[in-house]
Amino acid sequence: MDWLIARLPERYQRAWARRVRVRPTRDGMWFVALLLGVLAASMTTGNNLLYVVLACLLSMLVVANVLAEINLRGLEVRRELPPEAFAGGPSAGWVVIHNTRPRGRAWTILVEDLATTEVEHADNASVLAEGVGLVVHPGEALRVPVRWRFPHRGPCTLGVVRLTSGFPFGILRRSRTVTRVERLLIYPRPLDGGDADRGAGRGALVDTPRRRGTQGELMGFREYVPGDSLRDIHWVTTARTGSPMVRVRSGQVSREVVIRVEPGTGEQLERNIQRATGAVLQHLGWGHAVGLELGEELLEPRSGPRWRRTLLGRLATFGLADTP
Amino acid sequence: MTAEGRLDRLRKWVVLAVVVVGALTTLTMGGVYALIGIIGGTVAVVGRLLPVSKGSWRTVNIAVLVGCVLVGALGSFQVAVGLALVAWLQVHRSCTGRTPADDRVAILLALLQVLLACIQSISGLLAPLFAAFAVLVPIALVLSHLVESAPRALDPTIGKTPGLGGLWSIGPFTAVLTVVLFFGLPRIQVEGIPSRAAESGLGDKVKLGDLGSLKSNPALALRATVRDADGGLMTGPFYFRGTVFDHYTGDEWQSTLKGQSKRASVGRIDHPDAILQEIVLEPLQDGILVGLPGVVRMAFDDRRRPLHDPNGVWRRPDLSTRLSYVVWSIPRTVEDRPDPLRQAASRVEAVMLREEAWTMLPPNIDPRVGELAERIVTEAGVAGDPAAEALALQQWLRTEYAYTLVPEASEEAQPLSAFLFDTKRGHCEYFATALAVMLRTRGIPARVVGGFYGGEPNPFADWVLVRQSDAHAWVEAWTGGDVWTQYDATPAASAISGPSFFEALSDLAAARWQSLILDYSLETQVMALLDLGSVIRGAQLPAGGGTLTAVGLGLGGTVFGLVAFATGFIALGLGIRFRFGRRGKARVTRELLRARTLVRRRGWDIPEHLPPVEAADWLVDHVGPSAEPLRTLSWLHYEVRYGSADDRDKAAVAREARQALHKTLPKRRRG
Repeated sequence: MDWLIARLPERYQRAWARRVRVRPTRDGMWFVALLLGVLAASMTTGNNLLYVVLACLLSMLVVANVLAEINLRGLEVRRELPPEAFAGGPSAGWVVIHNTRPRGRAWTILVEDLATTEVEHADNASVLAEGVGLVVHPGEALRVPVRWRFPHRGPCTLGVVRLTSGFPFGILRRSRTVTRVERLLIYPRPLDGGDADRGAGRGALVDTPRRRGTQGELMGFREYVPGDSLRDIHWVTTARTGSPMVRVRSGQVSREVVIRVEPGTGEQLERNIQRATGAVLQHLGWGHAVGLELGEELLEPRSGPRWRRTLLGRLATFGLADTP
Repeated sequence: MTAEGRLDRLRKWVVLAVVVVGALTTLTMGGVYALIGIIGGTVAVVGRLLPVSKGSWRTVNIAVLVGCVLVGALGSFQVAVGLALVAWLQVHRSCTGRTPADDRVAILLALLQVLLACIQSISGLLAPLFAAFAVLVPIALVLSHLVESAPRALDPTIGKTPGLGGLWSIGPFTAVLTVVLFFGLPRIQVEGIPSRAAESGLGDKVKLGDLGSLKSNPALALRATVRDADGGLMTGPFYFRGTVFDHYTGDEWQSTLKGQSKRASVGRIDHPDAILQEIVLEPLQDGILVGLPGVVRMAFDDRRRPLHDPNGVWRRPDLSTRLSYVVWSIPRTVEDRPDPLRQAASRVEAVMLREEAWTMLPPNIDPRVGELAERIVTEAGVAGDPAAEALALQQWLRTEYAYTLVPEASEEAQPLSAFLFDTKRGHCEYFATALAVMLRTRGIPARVVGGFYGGEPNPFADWVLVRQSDAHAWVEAWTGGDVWTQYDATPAASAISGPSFFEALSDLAAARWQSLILDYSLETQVMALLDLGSVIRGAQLPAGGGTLTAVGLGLGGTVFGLVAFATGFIALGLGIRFRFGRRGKARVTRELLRARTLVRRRGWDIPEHLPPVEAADWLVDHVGPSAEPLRTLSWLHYEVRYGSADDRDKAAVAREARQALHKTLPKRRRG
């Protein structure tokens, strides 16, 4: 089949790639096997009661197919991406399914965000995020919570979203793809800053406080950020506020820190960047002014959310050959 | 209660209903199968309703398995054991499984029970059970699917207990589609469902007295609609002639001329005196067919030719199923004999009469029988006149002897002697034997006919019901010179009562089930198709080659149907969108698509992922106000597609917008 499709004009190849896919589930395989068995039995025996059962099974197959087709119609998809996404870890966001049909709910929609922008490659693409919406009412939108998991840092292009449903009987799985191209910069996976302390020389940190958890007087509390040590969490405040809170001490404020990323290649470079990312997040979380030394490039220490994005962006693209 | 909880509860009850329907279908099989169904169904329902502990379940499990297999072994081994196994699996799944996947297995097992019932039963009770099954199974599957998906769905509407809304209609819709597909599915062949032959004493031999035990069996033997030559409905009671016994051994009657049977022609006849009978016959022993006396022609759906022997017995030896057929009988009193079959039969009859086939008596016949016959005809003063002698003997038996289903024991060696000279009480078989033997002692050819006498009219239909208990025996004697004349020496029985209201209603449903479902055949299908007239106007099946034509049309229909089904399935799979009910909304959309094509041709590559209005915004941002008509067009498209705006009103505006865009949109300069 692939041989034949490859010889078709491009527009037909694209149409073929965009086709609605129907695959039987495991129960569906049993159903089809039973249907074929009853078909053979009724044709060979001419037993009209078997024809009744055959008609019942066939009608269920027809109803399943038609309803599954209707179920996936008129659905539009939009992503609500997380404000920042780190490689490796889950990045929570939403996929909004909009049922544009004037009537008829859409049931049990499995949304899968695929790691490809080409519909033709959707079958073999890995799934970056998935979520299930039970019911989308006509004319309404449903926000399906999903967690993206990006394997690598750097610019990422999200493209194909696959909508799959086993509705109504769970015997056929029907899917269609929607292309929604969006670009996202994936920050490096942050490694614990404490780890960076212990790994001085291999790591990335310059001028780090020696014992940051206990240095100075308690100045207050702030929200936990990735890279904070669990020892710094203040559990009473955490329980009161409902979100993880860590202590801020006098030794942690108003400091200027320059974090150096040791040059390297391959895994070693990635490791250095991850540790530097952890340190950047940690120090920014403490309120320090953070600079970055990337090879010969030096970014002077600053603070603030825009600077945080700048630093993480530089770390995300550092060392990637095709990055502008 | 959360939505999930509500759906889960609904699912449990609907699946339970499916399990119950599956168990009930086994009841229609009767006997040991019904016992297995009751055991399995009851335990499965109890197990599903009550949480059973593992220890208790193990005991129940073993007990049900052993019980079902033992009960199954008592019946027809393969089916009964298979049914027992299915019942046990159902019990097992019901007592241990609680997940939607278990539900689907339970539904599958119920379906297997239905399949087994289809193989073993033709009961009309299957009709409501099938209907319930077709409605409940889709709903059960939908609920199982939703409940299975719900735990994975982090859906904010879950707490709002969404109703199933239109999903309930899936069940009835599937049931209706089932009916349509059943009648539309092309048939290649239709064989009836084998059923047990009725033991009505209508075989090739019968021991004197055997018929009595059947007279208490109220089971249906046949339904018959009888019309006279003018098409008027005739009311009973009727004599339905079945088998004929020509040889008497002293304690048994035998039909010995079966070997001289010949194929009879089939098809309808037009005769001014022919009585037409539409009969639905339960299978009798040895494939015997029944009809009113004087049968000259029969016709069957499958156009097979029946056998016909010199005794006037019609049979289809291969018959093992309930059979619907049409019979034409011409009463013996009619002088005209146009039918060549009748003439051929009379020639054979002449030979048989010369050979005294119907006057032979056993060598050990009690001489008192002949003496008694001699005395009766002498006292009546009719000696020498065969017809009068037969009437005298018939009258004497009717008046001097009493009817009983249970004759008393006697010390006489021969049953006939016991009846005539000792007990003087017996049932129709004794009376018929006495009359036939006495006629033979007088040298008059006589034979005993086995059949049915009766006919309870069904007030809701045209037919009469004839039961096994209507089995009867009478005599045919060659007293008229060239015809067999019928004599019935049995004293008149009590008046025939009709069926009760519910019995008649149930019989009507069973008959419709038979005619619409069980007898639905390729020929019926093709004839119905031709009757529509719109497909092949004026076409008719040729009388002779109808079966061949029907098979050809059926095969063609099969191929066409399969191709159409496959094409539809593939088309849906390829995502070809049928725009149901959107025909009126296409104009504005078409204008928008033409405008987008225009934009592309002018060199403006709007990103594909942008929805219509965002795409128009993008173009206005890049081109300027000259692209505004596209924005207007996009909003029109939204209004028509998702709003209630009428496409006809907006179409003109859309066209103007597209034409304006055509005039104002500049070409993009590359580079």
